[in-house]
Amino acid sequence: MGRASQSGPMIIADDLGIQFHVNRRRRMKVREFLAKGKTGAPGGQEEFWALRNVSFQIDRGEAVGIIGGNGHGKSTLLRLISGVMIPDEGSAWVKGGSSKVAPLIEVTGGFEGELTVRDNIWLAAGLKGLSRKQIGAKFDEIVEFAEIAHRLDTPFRHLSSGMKAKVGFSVVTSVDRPIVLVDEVLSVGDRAFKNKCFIRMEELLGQGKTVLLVSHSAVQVERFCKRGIYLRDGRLIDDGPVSEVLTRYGRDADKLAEDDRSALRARRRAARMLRNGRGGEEPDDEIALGAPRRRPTAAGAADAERARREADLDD
Amino acid sequence: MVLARTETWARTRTLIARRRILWLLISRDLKVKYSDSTLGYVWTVLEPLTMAAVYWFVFSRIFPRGTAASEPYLVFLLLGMLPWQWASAVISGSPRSISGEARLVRSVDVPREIWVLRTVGSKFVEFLFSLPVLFAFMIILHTGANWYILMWPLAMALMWVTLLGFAFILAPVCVMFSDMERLMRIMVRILFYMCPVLYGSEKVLQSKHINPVIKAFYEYNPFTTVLSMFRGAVFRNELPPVSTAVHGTIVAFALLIIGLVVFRRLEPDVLKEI
Repeated sequence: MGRASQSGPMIIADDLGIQFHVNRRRRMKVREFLAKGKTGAPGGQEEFWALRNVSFQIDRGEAVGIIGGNGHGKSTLLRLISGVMIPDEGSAWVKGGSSKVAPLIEVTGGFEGELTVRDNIWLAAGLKGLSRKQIGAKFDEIVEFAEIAHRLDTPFRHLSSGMKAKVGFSVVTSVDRPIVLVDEVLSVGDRAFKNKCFIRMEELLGQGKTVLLVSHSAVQVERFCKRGIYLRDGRLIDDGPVSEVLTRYGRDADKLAEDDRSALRARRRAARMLRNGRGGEEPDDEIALGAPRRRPTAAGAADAERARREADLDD
Repeated sequence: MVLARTETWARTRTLIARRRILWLLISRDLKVKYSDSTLGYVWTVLEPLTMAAVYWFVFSRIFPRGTAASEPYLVFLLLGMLPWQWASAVISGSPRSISGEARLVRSVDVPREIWVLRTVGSKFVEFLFSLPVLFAFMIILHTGANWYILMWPLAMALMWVTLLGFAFILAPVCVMFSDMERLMRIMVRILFYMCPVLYGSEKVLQSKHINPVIKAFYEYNPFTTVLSMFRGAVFRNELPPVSTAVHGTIVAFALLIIGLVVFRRLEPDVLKEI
């Protein structure tokens, strides 16, 4: 798995950076624009770097896991590589251009609820870059993989969300490109389908494709990837053998969770004291329990917890 | 410079290379429009037809039309309303060219111009589909046509340029300004009366009683040229004066260039926003 048939870089991220507004909404109303002038974005002027100073090189046939908590820049990184976002700093170079990339992002994008499943497969496969001839050759395979043969003439909107995801995954993975970006899609569908997805992932790796995988499941990442890239707050923290990087991520996440737990304990204590002082009128405990979730560290803790849970579930 | 020549050239080349995707998107739009209802085609022509009937009633039976339009008024109206429907559909639809397909734009790497081309293209095909109705009325009412009908492709090309200009500005700007779409609906309404749709351009351009500023608006408005070129094929007196046609064409291309600049400037921010 992941052997380099022909070596050489496939992806080079050079000092990559992209900046967002704090609330990720730059959107404003014309009337705000007129009232506040060009610089008066709502919610203040604050911006943050979703990614910055990220540099790495990925060679042909490598399988790399992108590791990090929610909102730390993993998906943004995949978007920059696939060319659907434009960096503010640096560059993301892909050998042969972004048309060599098959992004498994938003797999159900491009499906039209009103049209039948059959029409949708043709359209979506076409949009993802397959020619008519290629679709014709692969149509049966796509249908079979998605287990959708009995619903081919149903309007797409009548499918369940799991079935939609299956069709999407099936279409996207049938697009034959040297680089595959996978963003959390392996968690769609039921268990049987998940296993099929794993097999297809292994096939892709076996064909010597370059794969970038974003997943919260340590088990999944370790199963497919030899190398890990750890992102925290948009910075590249670690890049190396996957087990080492995962250990480091786990340590960080545990530490955050521990910080969070002690903060929670402190708040509970404070609340109890307050309640005792006031004669126990207010349901402080609920408030105290709810509040720390909103702290920035809560995300890390939740991730660590989910990672552990999934690790238990998967094997 | 945003419009560096090499950049423009490279983008045009990718667009040409990926043109298949444009056809796919347009045919998808048409499929959605026509497949789910057997009345699909009727819906395309129903609106301009009923509106034409209403305007015909109002301006033939209630208000005296005078010399503002030629006879038969119904054909005259359709010659203005069918192209106008294309224009108004693009102006009111282009705010959603990008935001309406957010998931696709986020996951498929095609030149982003394609989403705008697709809006103008889909509406163009619908316009072409509506032409047989016009021809039917021309035959029934024996209006005939003159050789200027050969100018139609030119008129359509100019319409493309104008509408692309509008759409390239509106599509990204409306992602950044969420209430823009509503403004556009009002804009379309105003433009409908401020363009020679219900009446002929000749009347306005020759008038002695109209404020010169407003007259200049008609003179430089590319829609005046486009609509008059369409009408000229049946009503020769409606053909635009050469000066008007030149001015309209200049404005249309200026719009397109501004549109391309705006589109490229906003592109990185738009992609973050959707």
